[in-house]
Amino acid sequence: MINNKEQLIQQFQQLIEAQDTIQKLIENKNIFCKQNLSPLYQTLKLLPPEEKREYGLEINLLNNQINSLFEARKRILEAQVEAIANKVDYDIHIDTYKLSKGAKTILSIVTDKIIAYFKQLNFKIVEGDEVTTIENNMDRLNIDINHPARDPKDTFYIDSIRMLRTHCTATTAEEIHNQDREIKVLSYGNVYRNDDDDLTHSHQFSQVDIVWVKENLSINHLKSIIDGLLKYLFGNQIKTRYRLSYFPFTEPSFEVDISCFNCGGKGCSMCKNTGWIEILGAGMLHQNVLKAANIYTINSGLAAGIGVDRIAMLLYGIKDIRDIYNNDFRLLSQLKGVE
Amino acid sequence: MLFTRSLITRFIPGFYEISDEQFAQSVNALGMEVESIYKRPKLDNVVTGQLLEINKVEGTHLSLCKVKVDDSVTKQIVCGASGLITGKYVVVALPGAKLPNGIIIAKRQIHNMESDGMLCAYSELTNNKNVVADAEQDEIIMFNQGKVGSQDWIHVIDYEDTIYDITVPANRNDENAYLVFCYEIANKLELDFNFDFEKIIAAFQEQKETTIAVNKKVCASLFFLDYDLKTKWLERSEWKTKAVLMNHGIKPFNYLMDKLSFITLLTNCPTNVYDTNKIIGEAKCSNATPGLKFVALNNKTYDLTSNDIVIYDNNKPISLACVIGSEETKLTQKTTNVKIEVGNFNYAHIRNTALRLNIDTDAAKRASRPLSTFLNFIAIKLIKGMIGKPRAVQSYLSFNWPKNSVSVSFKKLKWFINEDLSKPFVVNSLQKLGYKTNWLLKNRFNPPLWRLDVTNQEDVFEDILKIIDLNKLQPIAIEDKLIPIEPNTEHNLKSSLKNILLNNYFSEVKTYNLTNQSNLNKFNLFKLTNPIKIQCNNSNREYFRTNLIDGMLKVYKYNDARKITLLPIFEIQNIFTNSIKTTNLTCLCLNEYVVDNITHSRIALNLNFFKGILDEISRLFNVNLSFNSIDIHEFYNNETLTISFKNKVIGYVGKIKKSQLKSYDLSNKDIYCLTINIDSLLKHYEPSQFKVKSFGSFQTVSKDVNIVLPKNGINNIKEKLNAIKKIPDISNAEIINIFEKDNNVIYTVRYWLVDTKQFKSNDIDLIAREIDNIR
Repeated sequence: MINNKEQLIQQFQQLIEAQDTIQKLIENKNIFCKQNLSPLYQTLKLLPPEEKREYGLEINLLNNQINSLFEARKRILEAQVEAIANKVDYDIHIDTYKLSKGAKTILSIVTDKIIAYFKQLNFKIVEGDEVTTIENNMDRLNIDINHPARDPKDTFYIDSIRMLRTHCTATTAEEIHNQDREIKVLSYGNVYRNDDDDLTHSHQFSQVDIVWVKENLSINHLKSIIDGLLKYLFGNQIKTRYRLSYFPFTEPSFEVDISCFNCGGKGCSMCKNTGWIEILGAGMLHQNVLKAANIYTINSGLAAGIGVDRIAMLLYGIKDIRDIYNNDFRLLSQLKGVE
Repeated sequence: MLFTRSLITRFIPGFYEISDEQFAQSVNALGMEVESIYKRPKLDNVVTGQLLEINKVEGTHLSLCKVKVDDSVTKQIVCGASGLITGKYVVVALPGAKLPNGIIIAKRQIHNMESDGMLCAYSELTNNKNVVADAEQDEIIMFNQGKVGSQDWIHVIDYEDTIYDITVPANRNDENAYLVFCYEIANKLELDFNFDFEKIIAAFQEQKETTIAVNKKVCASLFFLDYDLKTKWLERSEWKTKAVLMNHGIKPFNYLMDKLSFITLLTNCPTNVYDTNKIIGEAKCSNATPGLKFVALNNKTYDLTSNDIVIYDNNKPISLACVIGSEETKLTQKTTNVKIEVGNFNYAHIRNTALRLNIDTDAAKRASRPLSTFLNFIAIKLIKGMIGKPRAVQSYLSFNWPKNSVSVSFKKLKWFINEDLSKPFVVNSLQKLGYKTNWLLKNRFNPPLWRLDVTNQEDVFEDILKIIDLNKLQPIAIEDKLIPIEPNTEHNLKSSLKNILLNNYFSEVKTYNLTNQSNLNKFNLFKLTNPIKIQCNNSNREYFRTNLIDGMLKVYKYNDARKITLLPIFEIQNIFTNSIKTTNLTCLCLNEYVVDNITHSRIALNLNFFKGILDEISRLFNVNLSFNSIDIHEFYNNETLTISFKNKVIGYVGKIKKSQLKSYDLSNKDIYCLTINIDSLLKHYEPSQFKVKSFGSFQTVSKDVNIVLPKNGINNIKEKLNAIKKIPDISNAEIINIFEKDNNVIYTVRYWLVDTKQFKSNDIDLIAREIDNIR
């Protein structure tokens, strides 16, 4: 018969109530058990067999009661730990941008988007040289010797052979040269025209140019590629419109418009009340361009050129192209995280 | 060029039923573009009136007029214009009227006289005063017939005409001629066209001419038509003629010039008129003598070059062909004989002359692109019809029109435009556009005589697209093979490089590559020589830059001037000289902490931060980069390192000297800069080189140890660290903390034991003793 059973339980209860951490709780429980329960087990060993059973049951009962009290106190302390761990001392709705990663330029964002589309079509992606030859930039592209594009006032010539490229088509012309086989190339990067810098003009700007030389390509194929690109860039809801145009290196040539994404085609200041926004130029490669590239076994090619700055300005509502090249951090900061 | 509804309707009578939208669609389908449609605002309270009485007000330039504005209403109006004629009909703006120039008319007192409205000049009814002749700027519009109180004045000056600004393709200058434009529009809209091209050709071929002297390289055709001047020709045209010209942005001049301007509208051929009596000998055409002085109609004197095309008489230049006439041979009230010139000159020369001399005339614009001489022939015919038979004609003829027929493969057409187009449909479509079918030669077509742009069958295909609706062609996906896959290694590496920088808080910028001579050698750390010089008049675009640092510091200057917090920035661009091309990465940042105000975490942007980035870059390219301190002019020498790859310096990282930042107004900033040419890294990259190091199954054991060195012991610690790394059983060692104490620098080094075996305490003690020896 354990005489001080009630007293022990009361003592234990007081002890654990005084502990404020789980660690202390466990340590004190172990000490308590060592001091108070272990002697009882020693006594049990010495008892005659007829008394052992009853005494053993009593010890077990006492042990169980201590364990229950311990578990209850442990649960309370665990809940307190959770509550502390979960505690924040600020409004979790506030914005945290201070350590966010850097921003790409708006031109890179748009260029990367376009490249991603053509990478899926397994195009070769090249930046090419901005310093190119007059041959690549003009002669191989069927640009007549008297064409205004050759005017020194509009073009940056270096000498009688070299110039700064006026379009990325100069790079694609170089890439397809002497490649008398199917070839898919996308070139991108800086191009230069000697314009005065103003709201919509910059003497240095960015382009993406694509060429796909392949047997028996049709205008319908060109439309498939361009429609796909524009839906990829602007969403499936947009409509496309093709207008005949003129570029020396394509025949026929097209200007491609999309329905205005600002007003849905109803007419607004962005689309000059026409409901349409001009986006890119495209066409079937001129036979003279294929000949100049020494491509004789393949009879067709499609091409498109995209002004990255213009698309960026339209997509992100930038009114002045100079804001892009001034690198105003008020613009750049807004682009953090934009892909 | 501008086109108007009323003039289009003159050639296409059914056009009045066509809406602006239908018209714009047809224009688009033909490969042209309606840039804008302009309609003048409706004017309320502006009516036709009749001048009943005109009384001059003594001592002023004013007249007190009685104007009938309704059958029963007469208004008193004070008018400052001269030349008013009793009985004439005028345009009266009554009180309440708001004119296009913004003026609101109200009853008011002028010189103590009540004025109950205003008599209008043309310049008050338009926003484009430039089209009004100088003499007519303040002249009241007067006409002979009208209905008082009505708005029939609108028809007198074609006020409500719709004006279309239309751009034609660069290779279709012929479409700027009304006759060609309307011919194509009429056929597209399936309406009747009111002009017979065939008759013109036949009539012209009967003409006899005498030959004049020209330089055939600069002139395809040239005609001079001689007339005895009629008095009427120097008088002003009627409003009917003037209104048409002004609606097309052309300033009226006199009867003769206005007729010629009208013919230019129809044919796109500029003309010029000379006072024959002031021409000495025969007129001829040639390149100008270099250095020749030419006094033009605008009273300016121009220095000519051999690229300018000039019409000469025996003594002097009498005009700059299709650009501007001369002061000396212009028509005056004394003129008795005139010579009308119609020419087809080398368009590139005309364009270059107009651009070089900054002369922006309508003639120069029209003659700056190629044009078929067939349109010159039509212009001659129209001159003869509208002005009269000339006393004499001199001409030089060539055949700058399409002579060759074009062969069309119907098989190619079938796959090029994936539509079921029958041969009769194709033939019919082309005939609609003026093609002649060459039945003798199968599948050959002769383009219309006014077209110079059709040279191959794809040009013909384009014309077929004008007839069928291009937008109804169904897109067809291209059947394609994906093999071989394009690796695009260089592009992918550049993208990954950008991501490293973006993830390290750097933002990308894009700056201009062209610069001026004075900025060219700033921060030319790689000592690039032989820079590329651009042929350009703008000195700020004279050279291709040798580095990105100057441009990027200007970005800091721009933003700092606007009190915008400066961000860490980077740029990757190609740099070109006459000797090399290199791809350069440059980063700039202030020596400040990037701080998160909420979590209080801080990252110091300094030399070590850049070295951390370079470590990531070296891992991207799978290369080892080495660093050595260096003294360079632009950076502080105790905080500058070279970056080397395979013993070749490929970059610099350091702190820019404040003296160098003065010209950017940034000398109060501490700016770190990393600039590295990444070409060798791009070329070296081989994806298969990377190997994963093996690792064991035991837990990792690490220990920290302090190494105390006197200041300036950078090289020492590097050696000691390497020595620790070489101890067997140590897998790696890194400096994790640096602090100063008692004139010493203390480096805390953490080393890791290999995880391929289990260590006993004795083993660990042995390693610690070895490290003590190194310390």
